[in-house]
Amino acid sequence: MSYVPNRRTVLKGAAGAGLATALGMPARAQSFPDKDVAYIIPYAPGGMSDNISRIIADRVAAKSGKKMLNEYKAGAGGAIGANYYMTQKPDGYSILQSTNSFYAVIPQVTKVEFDPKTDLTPLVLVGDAPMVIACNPTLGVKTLQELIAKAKAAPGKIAYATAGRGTVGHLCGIWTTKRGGIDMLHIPYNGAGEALQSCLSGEAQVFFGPEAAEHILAGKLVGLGVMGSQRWTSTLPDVPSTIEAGIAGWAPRSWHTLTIHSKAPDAMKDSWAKLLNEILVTPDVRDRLVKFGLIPGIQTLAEMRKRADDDFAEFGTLLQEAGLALKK
Amino acid sequence: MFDLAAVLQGLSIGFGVAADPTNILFCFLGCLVGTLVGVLPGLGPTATIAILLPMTMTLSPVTGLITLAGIYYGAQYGGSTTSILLRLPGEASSVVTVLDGHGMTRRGRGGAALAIAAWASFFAGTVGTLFIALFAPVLAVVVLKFGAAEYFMLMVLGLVASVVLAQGSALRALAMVALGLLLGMVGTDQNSGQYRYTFGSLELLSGLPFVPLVVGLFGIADILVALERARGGEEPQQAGKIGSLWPTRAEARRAAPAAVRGTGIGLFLGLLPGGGALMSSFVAYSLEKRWSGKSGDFGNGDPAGVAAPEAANNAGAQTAFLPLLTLGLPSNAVMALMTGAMLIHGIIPGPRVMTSQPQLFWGLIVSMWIGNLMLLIINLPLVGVWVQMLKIRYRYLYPIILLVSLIGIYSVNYSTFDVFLTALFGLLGYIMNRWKCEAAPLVLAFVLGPMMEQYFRRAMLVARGELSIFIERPISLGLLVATVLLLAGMAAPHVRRFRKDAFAE
Repeated sequence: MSYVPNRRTVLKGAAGAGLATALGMPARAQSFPDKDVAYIIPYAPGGMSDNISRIIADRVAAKSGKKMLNEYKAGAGGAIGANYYMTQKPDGYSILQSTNSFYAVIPQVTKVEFDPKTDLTPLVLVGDAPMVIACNPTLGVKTLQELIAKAKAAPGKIAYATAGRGTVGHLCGIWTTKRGGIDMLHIPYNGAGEALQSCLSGEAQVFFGPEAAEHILAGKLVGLGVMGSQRWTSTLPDVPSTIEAGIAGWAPRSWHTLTIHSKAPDAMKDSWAKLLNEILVTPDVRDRLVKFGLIPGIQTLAEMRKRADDDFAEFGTLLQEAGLALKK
Repeated sequence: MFDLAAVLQGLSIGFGVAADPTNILFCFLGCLVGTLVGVLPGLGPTATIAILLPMTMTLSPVTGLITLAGIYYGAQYGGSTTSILLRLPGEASSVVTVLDGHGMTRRGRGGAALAIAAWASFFAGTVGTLFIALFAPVLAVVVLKFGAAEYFMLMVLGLVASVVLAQGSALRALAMVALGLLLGMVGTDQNSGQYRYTFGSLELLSGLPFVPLVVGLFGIADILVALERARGGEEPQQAGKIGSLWPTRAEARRAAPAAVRGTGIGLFLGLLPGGGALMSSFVAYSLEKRWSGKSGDFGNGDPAGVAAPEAANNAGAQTAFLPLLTLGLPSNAVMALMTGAMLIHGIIPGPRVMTSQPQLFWGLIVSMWIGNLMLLIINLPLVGVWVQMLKIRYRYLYPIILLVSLIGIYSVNYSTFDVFLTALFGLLGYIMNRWKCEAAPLVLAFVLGPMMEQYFRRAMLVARGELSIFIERPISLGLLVATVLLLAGMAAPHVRRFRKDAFAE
């Protein structure tokens, strides 16, 4: 929609243009994309994917003068949007806002019309959404090991709340029970908000997700760990990673990306990756992503491909173990 | 219980923010846009806010949120306009307004119904704002007291209370409830992930959408019925005589106490995420109907049947902000968008907003009241304009309604599937009308059925299968007692009659 550039961006732009002409480069180097782009958001407005898409669309418009036209196609955990994306022309002018779920979970639990390995290409790493393990303070545990000990003493008595069956939160719960050798009860809710509320009220005791951070900082929940090998240093520097907390190996993770058709011309993929990475490194965009609860990062196209394929294999194993995988 | 000095200080910060000319201007614009989109059937506040969100990115966070909040209440007002005049509820909460609102229109009292709805909403909005300002911290605790068991008992109470919604044959009403429950089953089972009645269609995985269902059953069906009458040489009910736009003294006397009771119900139920706002208008209506017994004329244009649900849903619309502002938990789709708007502006919604962003918190609360005042100012003069719509000849009006409804429906999910569903439900509604079956019990069962199932199964999970959870928790027990009393109260006249008959023999 209407973007009013502030004076600083105008000046920067002018300086940039001047420099480009001085160096003899074409001044319209930044004119990619050269026409409006269909931007498919496979979730309902208001969620994380939507929030990210708004920032990206705004900055692409500011840089190129071309619009990214948001189209919301929510439903079936994102499968409807992804299937719809497959009906778009693979000319590089249609983009799918996505999470690793499209590469690793959805195609293994739902019948879909795409193969994540050959049809979809992740362009950039917008950010990792740290899956925080949080519990209600009345549970009386302060670390992941204490939680595991408590759950071992009373199998099935501790319940964890998730945004629904087959969501990353649910898979974190399955992973914790399998790797910790414990039994916890899964209670699915409608979305992360309801699940978080139930953990705050003590209906369920454990919650997995970045949404818990504000409540941990406010002292309403206890942070036990962050899934994976990295801490969430910007927000919860004192909460250890699950590897530090004593569960080795890969852990379910959640990350956000923008996806393009694998059939799109390679030059288009490179231009998109370049443009998006330029946007993602600007300090104000980074700042917003951090406030959204993400850990921003920059990765190349090849690194992203590997990330997606690794997740397909790892989540596949976990889904098989849990009996959630689609029967072939 | 609360700190009055802090509240007063908060309100003064709030007035300072909300009375800023820019904020007042944007509050006005939001309310105006909201009213206009609310009037378009199908196009609700969720779609509008989603479309307009980028425009607020250039405003300051407080101004942006005030604008979006204005759209939200504006749409609530606008939605009742189409329910009353055209029998087209745009949202779940205005379904019951149709019953008596459109009843009043048929009697030529459409203008009065709109005025009653506007005043009742304003009253409820004012009380709602004060309520939030005074009790915000306490209420945040109440929200957390509601677990699966409490929600389930609340829904049971609602469903029992709604039996009085039925106007004609009880058997037909029960059949409609059953049909509604069946339609509500479509989709993915939350606990097991099994698909129910999806016939391999991805669109049905998340269940049947609500707006196509109501627009089809009420609006489209109504048009079909009217067209049939027209073919039979009968002039469709043209509300040609509009009559006075102001409620008569008698109408006002019936509406005022109903609005007060509706406000009370809405204040509380609106707090509860997931169905609270919807329950509030249904419960308020049912209660009014019980309350007035034989003296009311519900279903044919009783002013109390307009005032109560309208007050309830507007009070609920205010208190729905509370879980968001105090806990960072959105209670409906619009609130989820507001969460997104806050994040885009760099404000992290959560328990710390109240202390870290007092300008935003109090500014928004005060602007809610200013917004309600503006809506009254915008809407009262518009009543005359809207009512003129009814003078359009039906052969022009109906195609316009059809077209606008379908555009509205398409714009919710950008899905042609939804458009076809609307047509299908329009046909169903027509058949139901021929068989004298009412749509309201079906809609209520459609919405409440799946929620009851979810809450029941969740309560069972939490309690590990012990049914005693429903009587061990005090709030749940209280609701259970209320349900039993209500049932007894409804059964009593029948029992008495039965005994009389038995003794007579």
